[in-house]
Amino acid sequence: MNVSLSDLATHVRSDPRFLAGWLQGNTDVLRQRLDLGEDQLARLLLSRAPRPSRWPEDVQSLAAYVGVDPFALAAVLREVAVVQALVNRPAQQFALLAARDVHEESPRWRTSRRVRAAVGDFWSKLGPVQGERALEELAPLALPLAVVPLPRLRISTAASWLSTRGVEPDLPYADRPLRGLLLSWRGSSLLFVDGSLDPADRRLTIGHEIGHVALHYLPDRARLRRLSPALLDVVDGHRDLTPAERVTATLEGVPLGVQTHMLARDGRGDASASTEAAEREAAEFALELVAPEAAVAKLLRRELPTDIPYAEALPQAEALIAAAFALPLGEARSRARGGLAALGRSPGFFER
Amino acid sequence: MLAGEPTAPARLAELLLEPLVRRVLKSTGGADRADSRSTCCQTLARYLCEPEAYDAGRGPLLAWLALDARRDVLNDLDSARARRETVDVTIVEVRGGTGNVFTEPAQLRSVEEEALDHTDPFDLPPETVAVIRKRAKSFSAEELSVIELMGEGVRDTAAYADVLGISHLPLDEQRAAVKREKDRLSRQLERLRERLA
Repeated sequence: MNVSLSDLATHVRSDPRFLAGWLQGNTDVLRQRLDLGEDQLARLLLSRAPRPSRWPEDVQSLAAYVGVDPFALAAVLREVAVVQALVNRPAQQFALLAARDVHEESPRWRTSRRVRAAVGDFWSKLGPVQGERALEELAPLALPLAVVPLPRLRISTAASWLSTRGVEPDLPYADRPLRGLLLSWRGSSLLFVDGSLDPADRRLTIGHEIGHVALHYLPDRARLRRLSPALLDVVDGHRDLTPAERVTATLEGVPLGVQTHMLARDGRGDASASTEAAEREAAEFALELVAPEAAVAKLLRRELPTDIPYAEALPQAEALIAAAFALPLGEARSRARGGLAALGRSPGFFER
Repeated sequence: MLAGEPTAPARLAELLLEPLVRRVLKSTGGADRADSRSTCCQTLARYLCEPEAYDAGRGPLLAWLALDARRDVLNDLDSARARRETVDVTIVEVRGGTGNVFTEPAQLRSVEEEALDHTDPFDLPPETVAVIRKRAKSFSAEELSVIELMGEGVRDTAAYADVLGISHLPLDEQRAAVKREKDRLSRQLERLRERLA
């Protein structure tokens, strides 16, 4: 009998620095999704888990070593982590809940500096990743986020998906169809997207939910860790807040509303003002991600005749943008208005 | 290994496991072959978990591992021999007990929890911090963040777990992993301070 790497891997499975320990026994999902042989699996399990500060580089190194697609490996690792985090959470707790409803938002014409910085940060996290890949493949490499497409997404279908993986769904909201749904807990996020959307809408929906993670979840968590690291135990559901910590948090300006739920809608389907503002910002993020303002302005400067009135320029700009960035018309219109404004072109008095 | 390259442990294991087993089997002729192989696995796993324990100045890695594994195999042989000699006494002691409280899982858990709760934060004196700053490049971003939290006296687990990317694990495993990492870094810092003293 020869000693194999699999035997050796069993000796490090209690150490989460190794993938054998980090995966918490969820090796079957890895084996099935990546179609791994026994030796490939053993080599992965004996490898270190990717470091958070070098996630894209480490995942690529692991993928090259065992001969699998790095995007597929990142997707499975992120999914295992977020499902495990949700399994281990106290009942009825989510750090962030957000959704992209089926109705249209109205993204702003122009991209704010805050959103532009967050989009730039997203791309910079991907580091040396090369090649044209879909946003849903890139996202798990850049952020602690798993993307799960479900046909005809509703709150109830997402809840069923969670239940089959041992997660208590705890989503006490009226069932309704959604384009995207985001659940975040302990630094990981699970992004459901309606798999039946057309590609352009699917990309925007994924970008929208990434926007919530990049703008409304991870920065607050990082700020909390920097200013009041002890409070992260409260946020992660390990214990309750003490009165002294409540005072400290107030003095340091750390938000005490550690759980942000943006799923609630009133009888007419409207959200609260703060949720609406967050949703608009996420829509702005998605638009900047798939059709950057600077690239739109460059396109219009190059392709759009300068001697036509605004009323003619607007539909031409819409068509150009929709074709170049594969955008739905609503978003292309918003981008066209912003792009024309960036070029100093505005509607005349009688065109407004 | 020391730079934290994720595939390094697996690559080293591929290189070392078979030669290690061959070498140990050759030098412990009387030992059970399956047991010797299992001991080699344990020895190699121990090194993979704590590569800092090996001092390259004292000889080749394979020789060091083989020596370690051989010692364990021989110790196991001695223990087995001793157990055979005292087996009757052991049986009497176990049967004579009033209840095996030490193997009660709840008891074991509470002792472990208690031990983890009473772990003191690592207190870094200013001169050590100065040395660390100079040597910061030898630490990974995660290690530096852990050292920073230790220096701030943070005791809570979640911040460390977040830095180490293990927030998805159950709390008891997070706490055990965080303690292990803090202990490992404390030892490294201590060695560094001694070397520079």
